[in-house]
Amino acid sequence: MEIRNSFDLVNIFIHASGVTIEVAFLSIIIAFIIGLICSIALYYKITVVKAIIYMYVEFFRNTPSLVQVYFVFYGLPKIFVKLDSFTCSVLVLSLLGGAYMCEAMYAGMKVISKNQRELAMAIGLSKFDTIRYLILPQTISISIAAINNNAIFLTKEVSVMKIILLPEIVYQAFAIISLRADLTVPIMILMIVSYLVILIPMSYGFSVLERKVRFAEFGD
Amino acid sequence: MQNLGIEYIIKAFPRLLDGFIVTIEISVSSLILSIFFGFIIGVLMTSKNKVVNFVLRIVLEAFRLIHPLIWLVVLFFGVTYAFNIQTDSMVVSLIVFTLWGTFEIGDLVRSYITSLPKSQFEASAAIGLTKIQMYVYVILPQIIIRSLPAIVNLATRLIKTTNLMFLIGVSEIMKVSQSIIQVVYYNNPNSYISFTMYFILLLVYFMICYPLSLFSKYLEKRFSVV
Repeated sequence: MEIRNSFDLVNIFIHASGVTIEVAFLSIIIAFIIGLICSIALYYKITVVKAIIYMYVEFFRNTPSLVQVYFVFYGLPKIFVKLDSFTCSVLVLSLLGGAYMCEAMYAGMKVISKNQRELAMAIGLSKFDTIRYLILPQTISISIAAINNNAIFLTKEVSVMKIILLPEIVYQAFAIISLRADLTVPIMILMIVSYLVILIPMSYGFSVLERKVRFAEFGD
Repeated sequence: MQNLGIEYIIKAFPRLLDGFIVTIEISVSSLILSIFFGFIIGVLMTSKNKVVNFVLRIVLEAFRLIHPLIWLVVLFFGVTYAFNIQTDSMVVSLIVFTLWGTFEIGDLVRSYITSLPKSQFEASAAIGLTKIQMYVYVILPQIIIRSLPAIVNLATRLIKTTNLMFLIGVSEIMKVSQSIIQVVYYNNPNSYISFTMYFILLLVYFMICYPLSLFSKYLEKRFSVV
């Protein structure tokens, strides 16, 4: 894209922010689902599955996302499939986020007393209903703060995907600087501003959501 | 098996080790510096001076909301260009990761200090301790023990995040392994080296970070204040 005036520059960053938001949104949703399924499996202590999930969570929590994404983007095509950078970013971020979400939700589930589960069984709730009406609402209410933090963390982590050529904010900044060094300062400012424009409303929205969800716990 | 390229990795092992040492150097020195500055910033954050509080709050939010990668890029490219000075990529990474860690620890220390019962401050004033004596003998020893798990946790996060600095040209383990991969491809285009190399890197990071995270969990149990 040719840069004729500052409007073009802003336009590029708006598009880049769009990519960032898209990847972040998709991976937050998938990560939430992964985290939910994994934490329920951990809660019900399904023998083999539990060990696998434990390994998955610890592996993703203890390795850098940069190496993970390099492995999936450059390493896996050698033996398995070749993914494009968009799919690859969403895949890695969802798995990474899923590990963090699982940890957060499992910590919330552990707090629910065993009494409640026995009571649910006594009044004849099926397993699915127990999860739906008893465990889920409480878990989400307890761990909403951690879930929100993870979501913001994932959004920030999209910037790492620059290295696999996902056209997001940092990638565009690098691309423009390498062509037009004289634009360095405005680009730095635009880069920070676009992140703030994404993240400040997000963290405000999450704090509102947190107050709404924890209504049950605190009353008003 | 030939195509895995393990023999190249063994041959280049000393270089990998060099890169690894750079990673550890930056992580450890920024951890130590950020513990030192973190406690100072944490104490400053509890001060009643509105201006100090406001400025620290803004910087804290800036480092929270914006990824260290962005700060690295801004300091390395932006500052160089804007002020026309030579910046060393190692120094820039050290500054960014130290500031990042400082504000993480600072916020923690602030929350711990404000959660201490007020009677401790009043009692130390009553027995005639000066402000500095109060912090050194009464407040900080408790805070240090309580923040140990978080500090170990920060150490693992620093190790995981410092590999971003290869983007501004520090020749740490990531950069070294990329150059190994390039050399191997040059000699043998069908090699599986990128798979092997990154897999080994993942294992190396896991072997460092997993014990640390277990240690952090242990400390949390050991020092948890009920």
